[in-house]
Amino acid sequence: MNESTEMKLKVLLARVMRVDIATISADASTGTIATWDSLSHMKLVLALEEEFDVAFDESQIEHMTSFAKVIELVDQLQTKDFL
Amino acid sequence: MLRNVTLEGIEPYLRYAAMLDGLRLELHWGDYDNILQEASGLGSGVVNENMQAVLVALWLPAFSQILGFTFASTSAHLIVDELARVRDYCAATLRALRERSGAPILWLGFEPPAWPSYGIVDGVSPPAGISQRAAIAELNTFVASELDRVGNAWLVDTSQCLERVGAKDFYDWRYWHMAHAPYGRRALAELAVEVQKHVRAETGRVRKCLILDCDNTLWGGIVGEDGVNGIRIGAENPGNAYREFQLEILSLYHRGVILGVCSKNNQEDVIEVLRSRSDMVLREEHFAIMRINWQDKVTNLREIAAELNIGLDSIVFADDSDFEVNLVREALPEVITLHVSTAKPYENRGLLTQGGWFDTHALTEEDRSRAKMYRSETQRKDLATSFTDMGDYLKSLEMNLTVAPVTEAELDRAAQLCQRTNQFNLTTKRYSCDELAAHMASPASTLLLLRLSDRFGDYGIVGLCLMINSGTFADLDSFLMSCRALGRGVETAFLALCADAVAGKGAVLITGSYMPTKKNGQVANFYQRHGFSSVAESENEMKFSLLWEPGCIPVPEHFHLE
Repeated sequence: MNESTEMKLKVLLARVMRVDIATISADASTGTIATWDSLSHMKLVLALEEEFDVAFDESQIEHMTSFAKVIELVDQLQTKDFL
Repeated sequence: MLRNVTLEGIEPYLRYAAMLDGLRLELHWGDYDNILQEASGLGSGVVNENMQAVLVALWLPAFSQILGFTFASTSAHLIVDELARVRDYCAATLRALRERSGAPILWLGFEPPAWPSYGIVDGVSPPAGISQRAAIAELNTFVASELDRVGNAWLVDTSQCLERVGAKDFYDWRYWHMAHAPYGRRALAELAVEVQKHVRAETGRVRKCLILDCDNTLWGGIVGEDGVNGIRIGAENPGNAYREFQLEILSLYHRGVILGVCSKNNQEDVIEVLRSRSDMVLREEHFAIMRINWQDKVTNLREIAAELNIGLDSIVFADDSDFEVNLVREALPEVITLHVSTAKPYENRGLLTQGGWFDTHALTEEDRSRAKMYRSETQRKDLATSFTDMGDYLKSLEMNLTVAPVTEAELDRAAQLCQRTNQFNLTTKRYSCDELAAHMASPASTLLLLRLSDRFGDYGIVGLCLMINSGTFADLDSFLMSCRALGRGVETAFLALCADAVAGKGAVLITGSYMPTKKNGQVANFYQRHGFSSVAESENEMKFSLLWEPGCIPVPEHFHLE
């Protein structure tokens, strides 16, 4: 994944979780961000789907519990598009 | 925002739509599925004198399983009863809201099902004689008349939004099943645009004036080059697209919108088209003002605003030229500038109709004062009467509460509650399945779960209480409840039953703590409200105690206990 997409994701995550972007480390997750609850998780999914114009399936939504996993998922999406 | 479903996803779309009108929107969310309660001033208290407007989102399938899911399985007379129940609830909510505030009410209309339960015969000869779609349309009519009665209240046409987006794309069943959020992002976006039209109407941001470029906007081609007869306007393609665009503008004229022309042309050429080209819909008389010259359009628009004595923020400007559009957008951001298409003129009419910038509530003075009158009249009503309404309502829910010690099969759900409950959680202790299992096995611990059901369904396990007993003392280590069970007095009943349970084991003094977090502010005074005394207070913990005796915490009457 290119740097600008990763930065875009960081900005998105910070906005949805209402935290300072500086606090989003590589291991940011539902465990480390206090505002990452079930409601903001849904808003995150909504924002990602809006941004990339995709629809995740339920298991992807359930497993999207960290910044690293978000990057992984979006990476998968983008690779699929390319193919 | 009063709602019986999860609607928080609409926030960015609403804020964006409002921002385009220069408004900063602050949304205050009423408790989940507590519409009548919030309207009555209970719950989180979002309905108060500071409120500037209220949106009511009563999603019918969540409120009525019959109307949403089992219409074809239900007899006619039960459907009739159900429709009456919906009407009563809506009327009671509106009444309660108006009693508390004169602020404008926006009510999201009910969407008729795109795939009715009776399928293809629903509209023509439905079995049992009632059409599902017609019944829901009638509910909308009823609500509209109630809104008219309370005054300063508007129906947001959700069905229209549904039609525009299309039923296949409107709902997101993933979100509905995961989070009780029925609307997909396209629905949320469209609903936000529709709601904002009403907000615009209520905040004096309705536009008053439409200024139009001529060449490739009002007609196809350039009159200075193609001549009066060479421009495309009339029955033939593409002239017919421009003709329909003009018909739309004519409608706006008859709705009271001021029309004007702003064109870089020789004045005589444009006037000749307006006067002598027979296919034209719009004529000289329709335009209140014209600036046909070679001056820049920014200056022209400023002069138009000055001459008409309106603000630039009252103007919508339409032009096909990239250059003009960018110029005006940069220099005059308060103007709404529509970039009409030269290549696809058939899209231009849509640009004009979809914005709704001229839509007004057209409130007369009489309508405004009617809202005030209604409000002061109902404020004189007996407080006892409105209390009875709520009590009756809660009784009508036929709620069943079961409090019982946790069983092994329930440990997973119990742990899930501990992990996920943030708001109604006194101490926010996150226990794992194993930790709860240890408590279940320990004689010093009392771990109770609360089950709730009502006449509409089973909510499952919605509360957990862990008490640690030692002799005549019992401490409420954890007391938490799912938000879907709030607003009905359930927490009082649960606390009472837990206290009774532990008293049965010999406890006389019951203590509990409130540990503040960013999310659990709503339970700060929970123990005090139920007769506990404050015994100690530090930054992280407030301790309370209660000397137990029978009936020390009265259980509300409207529950059936097991």
